Amino acid sequence: MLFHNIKYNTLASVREKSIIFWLMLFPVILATFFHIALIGVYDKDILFNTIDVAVVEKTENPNFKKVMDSLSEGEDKMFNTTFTDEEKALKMLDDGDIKGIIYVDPKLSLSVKADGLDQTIIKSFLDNYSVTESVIIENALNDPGSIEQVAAAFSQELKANEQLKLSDGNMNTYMTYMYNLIAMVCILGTTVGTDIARRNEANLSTLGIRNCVSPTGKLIKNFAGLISGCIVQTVCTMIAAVYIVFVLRDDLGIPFPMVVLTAVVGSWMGVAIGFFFGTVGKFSDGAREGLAIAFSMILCFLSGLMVGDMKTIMMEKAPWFNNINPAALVCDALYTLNVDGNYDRYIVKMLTMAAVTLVFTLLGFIMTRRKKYASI
Amino acid sequence: MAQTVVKIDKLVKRYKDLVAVDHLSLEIFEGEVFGLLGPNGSGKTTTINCLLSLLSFDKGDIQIFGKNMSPTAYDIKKDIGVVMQNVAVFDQLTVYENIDYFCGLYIKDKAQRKKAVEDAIAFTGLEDFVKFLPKKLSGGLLRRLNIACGIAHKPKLIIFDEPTVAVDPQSRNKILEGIIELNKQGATIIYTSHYMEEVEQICTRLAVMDKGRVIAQGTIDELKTNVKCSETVTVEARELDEQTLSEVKALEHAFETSYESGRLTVKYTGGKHNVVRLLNTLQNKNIHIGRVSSEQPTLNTVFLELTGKELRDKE
Ligand SMILES: Nc1ncnc2c1ncn2[C@@H]1O[C@H](COP(=O)(O)OP(=O)(O)O)[C@@H](O)[C@H]1O
Ligand SMILES: [Mg+2]
Repeated sequence: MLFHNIKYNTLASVREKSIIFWLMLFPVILATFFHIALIGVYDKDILFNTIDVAVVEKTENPNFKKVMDSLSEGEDKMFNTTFTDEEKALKMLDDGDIKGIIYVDPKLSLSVKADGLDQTIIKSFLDNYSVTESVIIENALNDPGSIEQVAAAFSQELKANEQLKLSDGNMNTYMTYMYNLIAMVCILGTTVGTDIARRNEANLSTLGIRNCVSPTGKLIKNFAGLISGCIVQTVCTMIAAVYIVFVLRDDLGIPFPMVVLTAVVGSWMGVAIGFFFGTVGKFSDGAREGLAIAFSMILCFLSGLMVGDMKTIMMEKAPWFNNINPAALVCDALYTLNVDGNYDRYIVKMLTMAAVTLVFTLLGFIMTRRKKYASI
Repeated sequence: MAQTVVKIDKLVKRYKDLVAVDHLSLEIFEGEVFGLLGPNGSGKTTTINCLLSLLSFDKGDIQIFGKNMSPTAYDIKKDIGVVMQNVAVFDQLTVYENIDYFCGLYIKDKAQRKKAVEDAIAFTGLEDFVKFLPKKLSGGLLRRLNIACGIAHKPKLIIFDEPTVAVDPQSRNKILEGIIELNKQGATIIYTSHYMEEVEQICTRLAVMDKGRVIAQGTIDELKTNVKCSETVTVEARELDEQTLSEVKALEHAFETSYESGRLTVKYTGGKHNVVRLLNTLQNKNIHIGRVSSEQPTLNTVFLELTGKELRDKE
């Protein structure tokens, strides 16, 4: 019985055009837009600090030397290179003066002391170089001046690949926008939630009348509806998260499973809120959906989805609201995970979300508990 | 006497100041096709919604299958089928999925349900459309889907609330035939409508409603014999003088005569050969006679006498 209801509620939701658009396509479009619009900003600002490296040449490799030289020149140079012997290099590495030692022997290899963004950048540069070495040599033979261009190309590519990899605890605009976007998908779950109420309440739809005259209890039907709503929402948030992390290849600064966990809890909260609001008041189908979307968007606006500074303003002017704004909760949970070394604040945010979910679910059940309607 | 299926006792339902159902009492017996006839706004749907425990009401008692009806009376609800005026299906589910979903709220056993769904599809003739979404169905087919969703679980009592409103005549006949068939298979039917022809066509007994009240109740013949007017004769005849008219008025059984733009209408309380006698009277006066017609009383006549207004005007 429960399974039967879950199955058909889920089917009906995933085939619903407005859900497909608002919860599946819209976030993907918005993420792409953010990706394109904000990468430029990021590029100019914080992005690249020069990385100190030492090169130990056990065998001569003039082409590599040339490339390294040109990458170590200019205003936004990529490397600060010291050519030296192994002993000195090791000492520099120990002292923390450099991030890594590149050995030319003649194969290129890297020695580092710690893991980090800079080390990763050096590593991927070396990998790239090795793969394209033959091309570089050929270019160098034909046109010695071309080395400069090759180096520039390397630098460009590394920036493009690595610019989003932020060191721990480094907040930046781009990621907050993505966090807000995930929060938006969660909160748009209110549309899914209102639909549950609509389907099961006789005063909200003819479908509700048919459901109400059946011998299956309302509690079971609403419970099944909530479960199916959560399933649909989980799928929708996963689509957004997978798209951001695996298609756009944007690092969110958080392990993917944690993104998923946060988003899933957040989207269940969205469903519960929608369920409750679906049970209060009587609106036409279009108005109900419009209200749910508008409501979600306002919460997201206050949490900084459209204007990044909004968040700061809210934190100053109405911190209490920021602490319970569902959109801000999701966004802050992700942010906290990224910034804080420990999980304490994250757990508080997650528990608040769970509490909000519970409260609205209970309120929804109380609202739908009345057995007869005064008016249909 | 057959067993009582539905018993409504002095039901009162108010919407603020409006009394939508006013001390309504009904008793419906097993095997009947019971009609609830009344113009729009007379309280038919409100009555049905109270009967189904969807609406709270101010006063009254409702029993179905001899038990008190309530929103959680699941043992009663499992034997009731409901087909409302507005189509109630999931837009995103196919014909088959819709029927299966609603049937599943009643029948838990999978094999039994599959059979029931297939029977409902065959009964409503939707075999060729099982994979269609509702929006791909024509109006008539959509109504049939709506009916299939309401009856798939083989209920003992089926309530139809104006299932033929805005349906083309062909589909309408199909629906009415279907209802008769369901009744033959053993279901008790409650049928609400504001079309008297439909009620006359299929109902074994009926209640006529107006302004929330039952103004007449009984079999169709009972209702008709109770009306004063048992025959209405209309004759096209030009230039009738006062003399002739008073002779017509004096005819046996005639109780109401009117003459307007060449049409003479005479109403009779009973008697035979009324047409012949009227025509003889006119012919004796050498009056040229055009078309002649005689009408037996209809439910409209019943309604007209009881309320002073026409039922059929209220489309
Ligand atoms: N939800 C409601 N709120 C207020 N008045 C209503 C409501 N539903 C119906 N009514 C009124 O109650 C009366 C009976 O309506 P209804 O039962 O729908 O009649 P019918 O089904 O015979 O057309 C009408 O006057 C209608 O306007
Ligand atoms: Mg009605």
